[in-house]
Amino acid sequence: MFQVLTNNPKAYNWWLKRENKQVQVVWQEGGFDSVLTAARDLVHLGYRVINHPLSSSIKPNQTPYKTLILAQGTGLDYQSLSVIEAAIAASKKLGVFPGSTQSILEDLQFMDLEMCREIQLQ
Amino acid sequence: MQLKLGRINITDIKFGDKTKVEKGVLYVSKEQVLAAVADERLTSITLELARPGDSVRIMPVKDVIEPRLKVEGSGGVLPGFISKVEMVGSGTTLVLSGAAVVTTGSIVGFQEGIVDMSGPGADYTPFSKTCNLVVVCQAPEGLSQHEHEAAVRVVGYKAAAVIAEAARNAEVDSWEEYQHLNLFEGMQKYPDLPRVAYVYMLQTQGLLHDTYVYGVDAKRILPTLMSPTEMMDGAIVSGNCVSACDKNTTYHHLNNPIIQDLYARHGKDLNFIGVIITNENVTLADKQRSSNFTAKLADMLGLDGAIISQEGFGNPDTDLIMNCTKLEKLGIKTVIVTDEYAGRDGGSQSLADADPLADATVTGGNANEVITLPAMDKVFGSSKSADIIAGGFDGSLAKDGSITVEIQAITGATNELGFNTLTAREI
Repeated sequence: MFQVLTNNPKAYNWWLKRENKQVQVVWQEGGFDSVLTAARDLVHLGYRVINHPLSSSIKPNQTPYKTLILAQGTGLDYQSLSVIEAAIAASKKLGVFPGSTQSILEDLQFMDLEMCREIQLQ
Repeated sequence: MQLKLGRINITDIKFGDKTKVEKGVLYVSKEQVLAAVADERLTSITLELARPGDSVRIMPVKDVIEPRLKVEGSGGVLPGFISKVEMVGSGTTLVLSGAAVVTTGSIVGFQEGIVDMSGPGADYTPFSKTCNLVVVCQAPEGLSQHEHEAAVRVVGYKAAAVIAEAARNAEVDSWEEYQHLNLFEGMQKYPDLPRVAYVYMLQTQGLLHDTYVYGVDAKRILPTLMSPTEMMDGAIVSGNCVSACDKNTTYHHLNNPIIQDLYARHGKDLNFIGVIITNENVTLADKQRSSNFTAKLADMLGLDGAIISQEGFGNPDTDLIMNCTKLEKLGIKTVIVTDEYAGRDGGSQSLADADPLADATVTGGNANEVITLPAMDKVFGSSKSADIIAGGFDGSLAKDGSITVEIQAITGATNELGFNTLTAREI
């Protein structure tokens, strides 16, 4: 089973439309950091991270959107924990997204979707 | 494999009736270039000139390409795009050295990539020192970002290819020769020298984050071995421009300074075996697979050492550290080349991943450093995005046209091939 954790409406709708029974799409309210924190909680429950939490060159303070895919596992995956903790630290260091226009926000949603929609879940 | 590079030094660029080189001046026929680059997906393509010292700002820069022409040997430059996919890297190639094609086009609203031809910003980009043909691309409303990106990317290659024809009849100012022996010959010739390869990491994550090898999207490759001379013919090209400071333009791939430096020491204190190219994909499984294959190739080549260069920041730090640690654990000494996001005061942790085995590091500088770029007389492209580009922030674009940004917005500022002047040294 996979969980798609996102605060990006474009990614949320795209993954919902795939209607994959192996995939649970979960809306996460809040900013970039809230998705990372929720993903870290899942890692502690035995999930492993599929896509890197800092994927794309758009830094955590340059976009409010994040989509993270996690796979259900059986125990704590230390590599997942390590990358998610490092991403949370990087996010804290770089600061908060200052906001932008609607058209830019839509481009940022598009880019976040681009980074996750071709991922093969197997 | 043996490649001869003939350099024709270009010291100025002008428009003219015919594309040609005369006494170091590259004359560009607008008609000829516009006919060659015509693309029905775009609404307009216009050409501008930007010379060192001009009061000109180019933004957002998509790619920079050095014009090169294959005149003898297999294949042609930019294989997979301009030429067929014949193997390149041998024969004779002519270079319009000092000239560049710079493409600009706003594919997404937050896109950055600044090249200032004068003022304090000029010191932070190598492309303020080249004589640039600027290709400004406008797309219609509704063109998908993918098609828009592909159109602007290929327009740049076509423009470079058509002006490179001017090299055919020009006088060559200097010649360089690069030889790449096969493994057996290399071992026989330099049995006592340490065997060193270059691990060339290519960013490959999707729109505006991609790199192509012989026309193949490099996110779909497994790490492979290449001759360093192949890069000099454009076997690797850039589709990568977001967070412009540490992205390799096609110009960088053609002029990789790590390859140049390894060649300079080849046969003296090391035996330069070749280049392992690898990618930087988005999933952890891809990162594991690619770093495993990189380490396997390094082991099969019997390496003593490797230089590993990164492209980008953040998740590629994970690829970098995986490549580094897996080689080190095989007994292969590594030096990693990266850049830093150490905060505006430079005091924070520089990388998002680290390991004690990564104990030899070269940095291209701190991308969070802030700079104010004064207004320029002309802007080619658009300065509107200055408030929202990477490294920009609310109020970045002042009423007088000046821009206050982190240097991550400047094309090539902290390049991780070492193709610039910034670094950090222990004192």
